[in-house]
Amino acid sequence: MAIIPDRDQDELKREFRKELKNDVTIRLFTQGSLLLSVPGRECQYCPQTQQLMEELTALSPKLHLEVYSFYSQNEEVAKYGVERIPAIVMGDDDNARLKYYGIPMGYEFATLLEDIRTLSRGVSPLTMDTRKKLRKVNQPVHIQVFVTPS
Amino acid sequence: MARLAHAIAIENPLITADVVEVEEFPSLAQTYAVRGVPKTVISSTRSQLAGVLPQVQFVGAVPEAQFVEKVLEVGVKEEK
Repeated sequence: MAIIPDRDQDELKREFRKELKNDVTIRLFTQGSLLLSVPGRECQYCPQTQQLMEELTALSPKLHLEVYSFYSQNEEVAKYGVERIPAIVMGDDDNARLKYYGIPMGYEFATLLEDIRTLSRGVSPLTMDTRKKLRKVNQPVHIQVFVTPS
Repeated sequence: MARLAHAIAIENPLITADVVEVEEFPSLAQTYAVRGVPKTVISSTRSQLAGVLPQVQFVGAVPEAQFVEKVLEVGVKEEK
């Protein structure tokens, strides 16, 4: 059973064809294929998150999915600064700054779609004034937004 | 707030933004004393210490201009 309903898949395919310009890579960190369930390493939402990302990235040739194991691909875990799973990492390969921890459903799925559009088209949804102000930032800033499934 | 946070992070290479599903990560939610959502925490470090260090935080939705002011509070240091 698909997580994204057929009708939505068709709609998204049309939108992506119309709106996407540059390729976008979604990097997913999961538990990997564990043969045994290891206590403390259960990841209830990992399989579902992977299925959702597979369905999503199949809707456009401009979307790419890379799947990494949180427990065995330490180099990538360090490179992208992944702290827990499931994690979705987006943005430039050498400075990927957008993350989702947990399955992005409901509002968060809409946010993910918005991220894809913004990254692909290189057009910010922010006002000119906001963008000008953000250029003044000269120290690292880490924003965390805590949400609940909607 | 999630959408805004990500759009803001795209604008400046010094800004990172995580969206965290609290029900899947209860201990993290506890660290940041999340009692209402969306809760936004803006800090100058990614480290675990961020939970106890000074930071800017707010619960609920705020307009774009206000969110940006809070980001500037943490992210702008005047040159001496």
